[in-house]
Amino acid sequence: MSDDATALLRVEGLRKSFGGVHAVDGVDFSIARGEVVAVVGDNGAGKSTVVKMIAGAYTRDEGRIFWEGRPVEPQSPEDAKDLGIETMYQDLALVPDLDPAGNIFLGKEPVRRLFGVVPVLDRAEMRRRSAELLERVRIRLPSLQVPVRQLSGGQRQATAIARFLLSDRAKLIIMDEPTAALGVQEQRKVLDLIEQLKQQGISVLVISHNLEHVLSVADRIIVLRGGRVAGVVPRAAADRQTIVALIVGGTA
Amino acid sequence: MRAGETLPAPGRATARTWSIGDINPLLFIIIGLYIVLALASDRFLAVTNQMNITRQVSVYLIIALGQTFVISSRGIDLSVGSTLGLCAAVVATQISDGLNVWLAIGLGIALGSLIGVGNGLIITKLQISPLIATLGTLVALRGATHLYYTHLYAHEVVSRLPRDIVYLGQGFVGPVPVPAIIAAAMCVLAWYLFHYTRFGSYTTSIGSNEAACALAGVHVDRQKILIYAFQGACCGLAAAILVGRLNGASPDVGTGYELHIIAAVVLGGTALFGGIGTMWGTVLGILTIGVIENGMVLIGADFHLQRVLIGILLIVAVAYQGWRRRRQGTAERT
Ligand SMILES: Nc1ncnc2c1ncn2[C@@H]1O[C@H](COP(=O)(O)OP(=O)(O)O)[C@@H](O)[C@H]1O
Ligand SMILES: [Mg+2]
Repeated sequence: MSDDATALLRVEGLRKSFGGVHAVDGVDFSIARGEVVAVVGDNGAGKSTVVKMIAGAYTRDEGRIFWEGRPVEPQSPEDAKDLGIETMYQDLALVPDLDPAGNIFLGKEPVRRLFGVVPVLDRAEMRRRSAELLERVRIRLPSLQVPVRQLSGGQRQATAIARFLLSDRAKLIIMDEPTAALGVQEQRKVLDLIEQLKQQGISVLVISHNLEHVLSVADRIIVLRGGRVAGVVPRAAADRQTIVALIVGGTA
Repeated sequence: MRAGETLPAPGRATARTWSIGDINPLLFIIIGLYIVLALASDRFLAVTNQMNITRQVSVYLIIALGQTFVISSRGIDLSVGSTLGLCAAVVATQISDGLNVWLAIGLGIALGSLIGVGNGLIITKLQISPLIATLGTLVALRGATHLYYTHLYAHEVVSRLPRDIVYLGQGFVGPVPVPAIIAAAMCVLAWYLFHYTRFGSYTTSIGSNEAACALAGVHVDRQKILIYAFQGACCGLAAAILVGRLNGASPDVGTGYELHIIAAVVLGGTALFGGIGTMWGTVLGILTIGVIENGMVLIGADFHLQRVLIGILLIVAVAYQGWRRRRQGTAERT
């Protein structure tokens, strides 16, 4: 458990509505360094919206975000990255016509100077370092030079994962449904990766529908219902029935 | 893939096998046209005629290079003909009024860039679709060009300009027309920007998935504005060359160019809905149209026949590209 002194991230009273829909309606929680926190809840419970406000993709209507104890205002994904928050989205946010190396380095492309003057993209360096990063994830791609639209779901996932390993600054990695589009074996790899990130002291905030996955990796489970926190369950106390009851509400 | 499995060189790229389908099919069409036209007219292959083709296509090509950036980014610029018209008006009249030729050319390029920035701002800040935004500027700039002549210059046409500007449009270095040399230099610049810089890479990436680019920290709006500014600068430069070639200008200069240019870019293989672009294809697209136009005149065919041919070719080429991409999208998926 994290208390206020050690929390890497703490949010208080987060609120966001779209038109009349209160997508997130007063959410508080915190994450400690190296902690894996899962967010579960029914479709439309507000999981993605919470995560996007932390990641700077949505501006919040109300509430406060504390990063390492200081109040912060992530206004853009860039702001969040500067803090050390990396996000992997449900749709993976890849550029389909760009190759995996290009995607991994999107926005951070290395440039070399031809004849010491003309700046050109250093594609060789991008491919070399991409191969290294993919090795850490232990997933093999058929080629680093085909558009990712030609890759399988798992291979795209690997690309997205390698993408945030690139930034050594990452202290918190947010994953929205990382296992949703994968085969069983590739799902296992993502769970292994989460474990690996935790070992390296990186915190993970993971959204998942799969309670089995959640129970196997999360230190704590936050249940959202109708834009509010229905319950926070530490791993020790977590079992399927408790969580399902919190998700659907009523008798809990 | 199992967790403990030893992986042979993870992530290592395996070379993609090369196939004849990777050659731009326009190349075969151009070769075919050359064979047919060489047989049909003994003047077609003459050096003077070949150089004439390069001179004729130069203005179109310079603008089409910019349009390749625009279309690759999932945009479109319909205002290129009108931008050309207004830039030509300003360049021609200022030179005619005694402004230094080189300053006038610089002025034309600056004006073109400024118009491009305007297009970019309308598209990004007012969030108007590129089609509508540049349809608006197409109409407005043509009107502005007429107003410029009647109210600021008081003549409807400009003619008999100084030697330097005429040289830019009509001169030769050895057998090679000056406009062709400028167009070639612009091809190198555009090819470099498109394939070797962040600017080029972000252009196609925005066309492919704009949201992903924004999330990755790419300044999407700034990039788009720069793309339209580059397109405008191309129009400004093309205007100066055209003024030299015509040894003057009139309010209707450049009318209808947009269709010719967009057709050439798409014919070359750049995807109209962005994400995929090719400078080489654009060069081939412009050449194909240029060769058809030149050849039809040489063999004395009805002028309107070339338009029928170009229209059919455009449809066939796009159908082929779509078929090939759909096939790749599934066949190479694992
Ligand atoms: N961009 C948006 N525009 C309008 N409504 C939205 C938007 N994003 C989410 N919502 C609404 O907010 C609620 C919560 O959505 P979301 O956070 O995506 O839920 P979850 O990820 O838990 O399924 C839903 O009712 C959804 O329809
Ligand atoms: Mg969601």
